[in-house]
Amino acid sequence: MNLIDRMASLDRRWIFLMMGLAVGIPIIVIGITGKTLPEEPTPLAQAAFNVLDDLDPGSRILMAWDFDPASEGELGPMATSFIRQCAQKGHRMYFIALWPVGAQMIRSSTSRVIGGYYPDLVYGKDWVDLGFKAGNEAVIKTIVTDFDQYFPTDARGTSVDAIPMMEGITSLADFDALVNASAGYPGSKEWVLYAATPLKKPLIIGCTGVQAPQMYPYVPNQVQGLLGAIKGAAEYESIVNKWVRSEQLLDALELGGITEPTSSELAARFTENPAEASTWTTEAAAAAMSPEAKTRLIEIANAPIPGIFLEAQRRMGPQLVAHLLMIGLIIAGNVIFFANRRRGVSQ
Amino acid sequence: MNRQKLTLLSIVGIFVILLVVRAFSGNGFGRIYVERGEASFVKVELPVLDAPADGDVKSEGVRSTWVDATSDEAVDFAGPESPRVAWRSVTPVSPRVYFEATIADEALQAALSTPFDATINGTDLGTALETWRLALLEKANAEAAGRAEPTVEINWTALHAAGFKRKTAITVNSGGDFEASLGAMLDAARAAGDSDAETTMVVADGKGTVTTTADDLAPAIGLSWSRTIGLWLAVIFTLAIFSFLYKDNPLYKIAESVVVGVSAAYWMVISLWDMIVPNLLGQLFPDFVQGNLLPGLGDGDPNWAYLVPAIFGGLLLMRLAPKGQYLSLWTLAFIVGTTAALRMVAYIEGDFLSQINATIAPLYQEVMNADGTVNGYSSFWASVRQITLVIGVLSCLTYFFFSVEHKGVVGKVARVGIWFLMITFGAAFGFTVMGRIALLAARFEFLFDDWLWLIDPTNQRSVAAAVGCLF
Repeated sequence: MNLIDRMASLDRRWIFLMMGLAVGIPIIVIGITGKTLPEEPTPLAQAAFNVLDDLDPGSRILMAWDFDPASEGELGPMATSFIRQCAQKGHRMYFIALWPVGAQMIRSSTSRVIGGYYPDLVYGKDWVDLGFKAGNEAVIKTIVTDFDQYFPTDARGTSVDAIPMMEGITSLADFDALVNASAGYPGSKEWVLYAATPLKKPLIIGCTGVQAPQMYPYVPNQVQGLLGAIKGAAEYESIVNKWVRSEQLLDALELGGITEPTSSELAARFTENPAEASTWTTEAAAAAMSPEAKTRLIEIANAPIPGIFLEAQRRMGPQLVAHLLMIGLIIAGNVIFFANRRRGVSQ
Repeated sequence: MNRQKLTLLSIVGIFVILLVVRAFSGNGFGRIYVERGEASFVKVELPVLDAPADGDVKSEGVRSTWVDATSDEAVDFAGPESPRVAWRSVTPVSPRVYFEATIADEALQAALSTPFDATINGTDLGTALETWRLALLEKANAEAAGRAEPTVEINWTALHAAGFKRKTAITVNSGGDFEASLGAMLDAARAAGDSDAETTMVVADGKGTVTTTADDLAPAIGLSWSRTIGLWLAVIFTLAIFSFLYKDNPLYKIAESVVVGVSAAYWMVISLWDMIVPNLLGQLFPDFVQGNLLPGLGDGDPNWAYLVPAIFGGLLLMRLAPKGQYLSLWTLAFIVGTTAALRMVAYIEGDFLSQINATIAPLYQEVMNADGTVNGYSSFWASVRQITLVIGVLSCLTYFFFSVEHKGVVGKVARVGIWFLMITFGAAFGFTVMGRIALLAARFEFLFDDWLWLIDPTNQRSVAAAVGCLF
């Protein structure tokens, strides 16, 4: 039996093992070294960021988490970054779920991001968890005109009348933008058809890879920002990480007495190249800053990004190796196919 | 035993050996720690205020609600007779928090047995204890070597209650360790006649406290057996599902059945509490629901219109009855009819008309710069995109137009349509592969991070390497 024959009759379990190693080894290497692949944002990810960034602080954002643990690997990082951008910008977040387990996903992502990094946000004033509602697209169709009918209480059983940020919310039209993380039905397509299209509201979608091709036709008229699969999540995550770092640096510079437009230029420079912050603080231009403010600036510039905000970028390493393996296997399969055809072996 | 089984057994054997080695080396793995505490809520009557534009704030009655017992509302409006409920709260903490508390505990214990060099002569108890506290803290920090931050406190509230006074003059002979010195200082205070209460130094959760109420200072951070078992069950089920890749087996079947059963039960419970209770029962019997099931639900009158969905829901359950199953068809007919109508309208507006609208756009797309000039590069590619879109739509429509034989020009255009379709399917397949690999990566991360503690991307156990000797 020659090599071609042996490969043609290769037990599929060897392929599974190779795929397991192709995914597992990069995870361990990235987990130990902390290095991730650089991400160059595409216009779709940038557009998703811009929709939330262009809104004034305090805008009302409806965040629909329509996914479950089975797709958390793809959509969890998107949910984390959506919350981080809204929390940093000062938007008011209203969480709902059309999937039963979506309620758990809301609790998980809010406790990780808001509980861990934005503890000053007040439940009921800055964010509210309205929980799961059964009814699929009927829920969307109803809350387009009557929000209270489906949401008389929040997920904790508190009447919406007693929740300050629910004041003035009578329908979906009262929100400034819709954000949806979706793993299937009901999900992004239903939000496009029943909410964004009739209301002409900005809609940002983060969806699984399986759904993404279905969603592209809606861009840009019905969907203003689209994050497809883990790649979209990684791009958006990198944009949000850079922006948050830039905002933190800007605050540190302005607290230290550096005013606009210099502070913005410096924040952008230090975000791209953190080492510059240490050098700059020794220059005459930084004389106005107190030693404490300089130390704070250098600390912010060089602080590592928290691990939970790098989830998607970490998962791009295994993607690369696994895709290379798949391409190799496709080439090998074709070589075997044509070699056998040439030899006249029946399939 | 054939070769295949031998290979499998070897792999499983190696895996088990690695696990055993991992369990007894370094910090072990697969544990969840929690912080236990108390939570209590109190029922208060909050005034409902109306603040009109003219500025005269008026009370419009009161509303009854449960609030956190530590909140401002509880302080202002709760009385001794107000109904209260309390329970033990459990908050997950990272292993790092537990490790740091353990290091701090050990550092404090070690510091307590080192000599206390300061001389306490002719000073008061407050000054003496503060001197002692600062010296102990310095020693404990030196022992912890930056891996944890021990703290030392004197619980003056408890000491005062037991009769100790800060101003009591004491004289203590120097010498002995910190523990003995503390005893000597407090003995001297007792000799002055202030107190005869038992006083002790309690070390818990990285904090040392001198107090008379030792029972209240039990360690709050510790291993959670229930959550740890939950983690291990998640691991076992994950591995059981993966075992299908080798071949179908009873472990896989058990895991699959458990997923189906748990999902069905979860659906039922969450639908009851998130939909039926607040949205149906809360509308029909608001007082009963507020009094017994959802205290936070607002007051209101019964809305008897909700009897209609209640009856329809009841009829749907007739499918389970031995007779009268046809009654469930009425509900099904209603569901099918309304869903069809809803979807038809939505698809016509959102899919059909909007997509035609998006396709019928000028072939030449002009992209402007911020200064109002035309960006030639972007305009060129935007136009190419629009032309490709139109060609793709027309050629795909031609492929699906079967009234004309696909020959000649029509055949060639249809062939272009096939190419567009194939590229679309390829892109969809690529996205699907990417999605599945991401899910596999997430499962592996769970196994390597949460269970095996091989990696620590979220800094949950970073101090762990330093305390390997503890385990």
